[in-house]
Amino acid sequence: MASLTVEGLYRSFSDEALAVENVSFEVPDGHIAALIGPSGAGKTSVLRMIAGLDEPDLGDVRLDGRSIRRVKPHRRGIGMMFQELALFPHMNVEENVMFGLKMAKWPRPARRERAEEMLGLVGLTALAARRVDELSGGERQRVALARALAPQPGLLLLDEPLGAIDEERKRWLRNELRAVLRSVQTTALMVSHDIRDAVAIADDVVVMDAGRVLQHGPLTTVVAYPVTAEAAAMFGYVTLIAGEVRERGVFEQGVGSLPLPPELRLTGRVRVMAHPSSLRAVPTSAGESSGVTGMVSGTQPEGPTQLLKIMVGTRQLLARWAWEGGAPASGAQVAIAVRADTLRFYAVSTPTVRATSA
Amino acid sequence: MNRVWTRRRTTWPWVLPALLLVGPFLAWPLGAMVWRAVTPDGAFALQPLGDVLGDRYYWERLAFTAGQAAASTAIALAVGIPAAYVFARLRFPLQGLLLALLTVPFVLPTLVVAIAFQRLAGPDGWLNELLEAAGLEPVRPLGTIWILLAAHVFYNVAVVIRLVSVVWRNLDPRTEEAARLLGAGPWSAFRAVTLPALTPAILSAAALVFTFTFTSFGVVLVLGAGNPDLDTLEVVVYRLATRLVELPAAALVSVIQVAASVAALTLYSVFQRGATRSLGLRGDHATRLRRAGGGQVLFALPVLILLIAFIVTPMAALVHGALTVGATDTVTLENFTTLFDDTGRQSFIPPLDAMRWSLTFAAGSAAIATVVGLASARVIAYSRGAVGAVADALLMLPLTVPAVVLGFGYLVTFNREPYDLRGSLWLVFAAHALVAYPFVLRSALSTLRALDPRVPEAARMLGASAWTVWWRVEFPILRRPLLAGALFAFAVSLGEFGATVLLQRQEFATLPIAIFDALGRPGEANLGHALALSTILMAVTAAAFLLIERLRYRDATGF
Repeated sequence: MASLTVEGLYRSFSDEALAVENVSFEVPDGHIAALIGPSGAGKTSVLRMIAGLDEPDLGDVRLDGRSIRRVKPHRRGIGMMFQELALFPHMNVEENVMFGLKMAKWPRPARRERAEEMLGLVGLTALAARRVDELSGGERQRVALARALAPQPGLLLLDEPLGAIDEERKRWLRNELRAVLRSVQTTALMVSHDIRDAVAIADDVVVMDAGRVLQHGPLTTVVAYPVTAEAAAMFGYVTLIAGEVRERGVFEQGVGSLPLPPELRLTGRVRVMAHPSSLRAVPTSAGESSGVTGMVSGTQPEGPTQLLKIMVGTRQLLARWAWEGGAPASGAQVAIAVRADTLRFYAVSTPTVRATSA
Repeated sequence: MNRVWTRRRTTWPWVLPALLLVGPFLAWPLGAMVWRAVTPDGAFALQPLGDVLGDRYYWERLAFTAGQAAASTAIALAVGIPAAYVFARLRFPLQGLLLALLTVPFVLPTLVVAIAFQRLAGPDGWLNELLEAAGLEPVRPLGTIWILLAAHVFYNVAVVIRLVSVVWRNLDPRTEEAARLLGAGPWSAFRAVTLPALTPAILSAAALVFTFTFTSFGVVLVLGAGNPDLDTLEVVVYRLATRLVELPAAALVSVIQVAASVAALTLYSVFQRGATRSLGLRGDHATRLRRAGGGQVLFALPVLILLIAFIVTPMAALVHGALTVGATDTVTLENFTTLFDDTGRQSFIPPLDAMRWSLTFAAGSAAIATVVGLASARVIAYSRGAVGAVADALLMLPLTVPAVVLGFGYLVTFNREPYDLRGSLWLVFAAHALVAYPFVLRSALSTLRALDPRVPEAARMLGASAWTVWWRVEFPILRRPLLAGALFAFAVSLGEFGATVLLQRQEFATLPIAIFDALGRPGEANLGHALALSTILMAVTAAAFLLIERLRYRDATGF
């Protein structure tokens, strides 16, 4: 186990690699961090520089405070699970798992014992002698995990560990991956473009876009208070209002307005976003309306009530109908109710802005 | 795809083996030959060039060479395409084995093929016995164009079958079925849908067959039976080169030869790219082979039977000749046993010595070819963009240089101090390794390209040094394709005739040379030895080839 410090990593744009600009973050000892962002954000680039497979132009990578910038990849003591798994095709399952132990010069009996332990951990004991090309996608995934964990790396890197798995099995594998990582108590950094992976597995989140870190911190904080509209969108936040600040409120023609908290000194164009879980649809006549209205464009049953598709300006969002009586039909006007403290405000012109009053 | 740290530093040393072989033993001799052509007496002169270009003889030979190559190609396509259909679209027992059998001729030494056809079509051969039994006039095809065409088709039909059937198999049969449902008859559906998709593969096969037959040498030398009207340019080079007075002419004709085969092989690779692109048409589940239906059996059975008869009969005729003495039909091992007794020992080239030298050259040049081929494959696979493509083209150049031209190039290059290597057996090693390493290269390259670059990286992350990654991961994965490539190189060297015949000395003559020599000498014993040695050579190369097929087959299921 080790803590990871990434400090000011730069890598210029080349024909193949994406640029990375001033990337810094920390993963405390024993934490599982998720590096998330849209594809092309530079996540894999950062991971490869930590691994030593690519060299940064500038910046440093430290394990437990010691720089490993000049250490060759095979001496860094970092385990890595690759996106396409990269299992050794000429070895069976057990030989794949034992490879790192052999490299670390473990004595043969210890190697076997450790491999058995690892295969037990991922539930593959019965397949130890199988050729890797005879395995299913999920089994291959688990071999790759066992192989990366076997030499007890101080840090485990996972590049899209659930990338090649279909949606249905993903949910289950997420839980399993989480259980395994918890049980070995390793420090881990996982790259994913899917926020659900991060939510299910990670303690900490690093949000990247276009080669930069937008935000990093504990998962719950980052998800509750995204610092940019891009990060918010990544976590599933929707835009309620995209308009101008006028007289202590944000106003959008044809949509409505929301009050601007007095401590936020924003002017010009502002986006107001909220997570769908905090939205409710109510009649326009109800006193609960937040000041945003829209037109129902479709409904779908949701338990005893209905989930409404609502056109707000030119944007569509989903909100639960939370009022007595039947849900309104398509074409009806409804209001959106939302707790004021769950609204997030972003200035449109400048990329960095204070998120909330929290 | 991200840049791979380990690659940047390890690529360049791997260029060395190819440079050391191709530089002195291909680029230099070819350059020297061109130089020789324009400086006949040490001074620059276009006179001899003009003499050659003004000589009708050379134009006639060029026209004949191209004409017979075109005819051979056309026939090989006509025979090969129906067979490609059978192998691509139908499923029948022993399919893999049959395809391997049909491909055996491709690896047989030219001299062995020539002798097999000589036996089959000679005055007492099976062909005339058959005609006689049918009450027809006997024929004398030796020394005519017909026997050349037959031998060329025998050699090359497998090229067509293999290249075309692999694409055909991957075409989605539903597109043709869709055309049928839209009202097209079977023939017009084939022409409108399947043929256009196959065209690149057919053209690439045609270019390859044309190259092989354009540079035909051993077959023409033996089956032409001395008829000067059948001399190909390759034979012309040989005749000119052995009469050392006409070197400029030989050099010039050589240059024409190289230019023609470079052009044809360029076409091949252009078409080949098109052919592999059309693999994209593959449907997901629809390409599974179907069990042959009634109509298809009616079509497939005669095609297969005729083809197998055509491939097997000459080989059988050779074996039969080797097992009989004179015109008798009594089976005896006499031709083989006398190879090793006093009769053999007293022949001009003792068979045992020839075998020893053949094995020595084959083993040595296969080893060199493996090192050079593997190193070059790494260079191509691990360099990006245009560098890789250019390296690929340059490193395949040896395939475009006809063997006789290569041998002749050595003769005019390594004949002066301090490079006087005349009569040196090192030239034979170099020539054999040079013509053989592209096969190792291709074999290793396809596996390297299929290998996920992250696999070596994964090994590195697990603590393996660059050297350990190579030794524990890359090499074991490449072992099979390398072995297959090395075996191919071994077989190529065993059968090599065109270059060897110009470079050899009696002290280190190889099997093909011994066979050629024995053929040219009178007497039953010499003929018997030629046949016995040819049979042995055929058996060894065929065995090597079947082993390669096996290696490749397992490979395909591997990764």
